[in-house]
Parts: sequence; structure tokens; C-alpha cells
Amino acid sequence: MNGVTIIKSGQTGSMELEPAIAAMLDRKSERRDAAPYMAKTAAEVAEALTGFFARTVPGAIVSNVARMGGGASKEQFVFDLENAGDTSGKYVLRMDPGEGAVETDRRREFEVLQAMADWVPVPSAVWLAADGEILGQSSSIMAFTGGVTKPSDSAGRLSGLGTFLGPRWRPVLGDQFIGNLVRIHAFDWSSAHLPSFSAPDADPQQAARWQANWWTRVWYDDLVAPVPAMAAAKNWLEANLPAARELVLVHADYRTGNYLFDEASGKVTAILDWELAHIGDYHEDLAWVVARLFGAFDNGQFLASGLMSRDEFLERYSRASGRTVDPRTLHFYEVLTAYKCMDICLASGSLAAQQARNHQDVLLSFLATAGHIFHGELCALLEKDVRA
Amino acid sequence: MNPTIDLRLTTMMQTMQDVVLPALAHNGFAADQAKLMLGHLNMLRLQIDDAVYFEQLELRATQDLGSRLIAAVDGGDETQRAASELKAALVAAAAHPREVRAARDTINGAIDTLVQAASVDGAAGFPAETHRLVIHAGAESANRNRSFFAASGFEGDGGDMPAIADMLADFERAYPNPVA
Repeated sequence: MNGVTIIKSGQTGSMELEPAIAAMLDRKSERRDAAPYMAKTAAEVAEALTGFFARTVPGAIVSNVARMGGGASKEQFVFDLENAGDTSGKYVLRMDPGEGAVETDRRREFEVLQAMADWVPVPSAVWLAADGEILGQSSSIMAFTGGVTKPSDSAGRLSGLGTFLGPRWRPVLGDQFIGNLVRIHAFDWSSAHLPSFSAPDADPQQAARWQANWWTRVWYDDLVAPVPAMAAAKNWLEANLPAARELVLVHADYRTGNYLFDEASGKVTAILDWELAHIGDYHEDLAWVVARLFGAFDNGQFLASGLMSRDEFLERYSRASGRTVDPRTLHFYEVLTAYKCMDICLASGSLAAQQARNHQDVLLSFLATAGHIFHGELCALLEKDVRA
Repeated sequence: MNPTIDLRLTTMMQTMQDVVLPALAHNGFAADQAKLMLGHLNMLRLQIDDAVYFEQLELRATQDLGSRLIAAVDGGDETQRAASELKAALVAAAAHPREVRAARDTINGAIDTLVQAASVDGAAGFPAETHRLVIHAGAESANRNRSFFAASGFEGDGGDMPAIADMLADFERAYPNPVA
């Protein structure tokens, strides 16, 4: 016997995870039998925000509440706040639906956004209602940031989940993409106010182990239909945990599509979607950037995050950061990337849709079909390195 | 059958496109949901004639994987326990041939447990063999499903999957007979 535990659906509670992540997943399990979720109307949100600000910023007036487009992990509404002194302005309310493609913690996101406020471009996180003070579900409010996630002229270009940027945008955005990632990894998390975050520093493999366990737990907690390759991947991840050379703040969803840029100036105005951020190994972000499904193809050439070749990205990151990209560690996190994405598409997202727990169940059931591409990626990566 | 499923799906899609979407011009969220429905309806239209047979073939492939794993079993108590569970699932599937999806999930669940058990107390080359068999079968299953769902558009410019008919022809050649 070697300390490895067989995990089955409903038997995940003992896995070693970052404490706040374990608590977050426990809370999700406790909500499992909740009623189907209905998308909120702008009128409902306006009423709830009015009540919230009556307590928080007395005299403030909420107006022009409108739903924002986007994915299924959060419901988002834009609104104006007037008669609120220095805090008057345009804001975005981000709310957890009943369940979504990925479970995250509004408090952690809020903390990391506030910590990163003067370090890289991020939305300004202003109010936190983690305990459901606005509409009964965990929420946060950020200042609205202008910009686009893809060029206006990219419509109609088939790119799968990735973004086709075109030769005009790649150098402009590519430099900033690398620069911002290097800067994120250079952030001194140990001195920052991140009370919900723990550092995986008990041993050199803990960073990798926490991540592998997190996504193993999610697969078995949210199991819809078993996929044997996931058990093989679980074994492989457990047997091949790399030692982290250095612990950094990991964004954990860094890619084109998750930053806004101003089309007039070409400047990145905000890096978005910090909800999966944690302290860990920088290779995790690198692996996410080079994932095939988040890239784009131009004349048959793969471009990581639609910007540059995989090799160019890794070389430029290494040169700019002074960090070594270890091929075996990178391979581990590429396997983990595909593993996570299987969870998102074929477990959490599918289950939320099945139980009608999301405001975009039809999107989640559509997204589930992408799970087979990640399944293929996972198997291809594991066939590259058959060492069970 | 009259009206055919294809006629009903096609007319639903046309109505969504011509009537419903234009009426939602000022409600972006509802329009997005309608477009997703159109995407689903289009995929269903392409899949509906082959969906049942595809699942039957998937069950054959799952049974084949299960049988290969049983033939290779070698290990301690956890491995043997998991192997027994898998054998029982294979027997149950053969006894109830109409319960295709439930059988596939039960067998895959038992395979999952066996694969994990192999890493606990699998002997000699069994862990490596389970890994090889499962990953190979997974890659093939992923490719088949990528063909089946290619109309989602997620393949982008980098994917070039065989048409459903071609995929099914290859699949049937690989697994020509139901497992008794």
C-alpha cells in the first residue's frame, strides 16, 4: 500500500486541499439539494441594490441596471450609482448563480483584486457581499472598466473557444500579455493582505498536490458520467507531482478573452476573472496559456492565446521573468489543465445544467460538448508520458 | 414517420431565426439564449438518426475495455475487489441489453475504481497496462465524440474531424458485434 486513496463520488471529504478551497467545496456540497435557479431580472437586481446601498451609502441612487453578457459562472449586471459622493459612477455586480461551470469564492477574488490594484491593470473591487447581503447569493461590486475582449472586426472568424486576433493586434497585445504575466508572478504575495489564501509550503510538492486534489475532488463531487481516463489521470498526477521551484501568485485563468483592451490605444485596461487565483507554481499559468483550445490557428499555425507560437511564448516569458521553464513541470500542468477543463465541461457544468441550477443552463449543456476535445487533449498528453 | 423529426427540427430552427430572434433585438441575454438553442437544434438534427446506435456502439467499446482489463488483472485485495465489481457490471450489462446508458456508466464507474485500485496494490505491470488500455480507449472515444459534436463549432480552425457517418462506419468495423 502506498498512501494512495481510492476516491468515489460522495467520498472526497478527506482530500488534502488549501483550507479555503476545501471550505468552499464543502459549502457547495451543502447547497446540493437547493431548488432550481432562475436568472435574476434587472428589476429584481435594482431593488436589491437599492436596499444594499440604503445601508451602505445612504442617499445613493441606483439606476440603469442592465444585464451584461458573458459566461455561466457568474451573473453580471452593470448599473449607475449617483448621489454617492466620490463613489458615484458606473459599476458591475458579480453574483454567484446556484451552481456553475466552476465553483469560486467571491471573498478570495475580492482580496486578490484589491491586492493587485496598483500592480497590474485590474477592475477596482469596491464592495463585497460574500454572505449574500444583496440578493441572498455571494456577490461583489466592481467599478466598470471599459474595453473589449476581442477586436470588433473579429466577428465571424471561427476560433472555437480561443480568440482570433489577427496580425495587427498580436504584437501590440503580445508584449503586454507577457509583461503583465511576468508582473503577476513577481507580486510579493507574502506581504499582501490575502487572509483567505494559504501558501502550499509544507513541502515542495504541496503546490502541485493541492491543485491535483482540488480538481480530483470536483470531478468526483460533481460526477455525471464516469470517464475512465480521469481515473488514469488522477493516478498519473499523484505519481508525478513536481517540486515547485518558487511559489507565485497564480492567476489560473490567464488567456486572451480574460483581459480587456482599448481598441483606440491598444492598451490593456483590465485583467479579468481572478476567481481561481491561488498561490502556486508559475508553470500552471504557462500551461493554461498554451492550451490548444484557448489558442487560435492562422494558416495552420497554432498561436497560444491567439498571440504567438507556444515556443515563442515560453521563451519570451522565460527571458522576461528570469525563470526557467521546466519541461516536465510544464507537462504536469498541461495534464492538469485538460483535467480541470474536463471537470468544468463534463462534471460541474453538466451537473448544474442537469439540475437547472444556473441562469444559463443551455450554455452549460452546449459547453459540455467541448469536454470531448479536452478528453482528447488529456489522453494525448498522457500517451506522451506513459509512466503510471 | 410524418412529420419527420428532421422537418420538425428544421421548422423550429427557421422560426427561431426568422421570428423569435428579431423580436429579441433589444434583449441581448434572451437573444443569446435563443442562439444557443439554435446551435443545439442544429446539432440534434445532425445527430438524431444515429444517436441511439452511437450509444450502443459506445457500450460495446466500454464492454471491450472492461473485458481487456479483467483479462490483465493482477494485484492485491483492492485490485481484486474492484475487478469483481467490474465483472459484475459486465454480466449485468449483458443481461439487460436495452439499458445501454446505465450499463455504460456502471461499467465505466467500475473501470474507474479498478484503475485507481491498480495504483494502490496492482502487481507487476498491471498499473502500467491499465493506464495504457484506458488512455488508448479514451483517445478513441474522445475522437468519436468530437466527430459526433463537431457541429458545436468548438473545434475551430484546428480541428478536422470525420463526418458522423464516416466515424460510425469505422466504429462499427472496430466493434461489429454486440457483446454477449
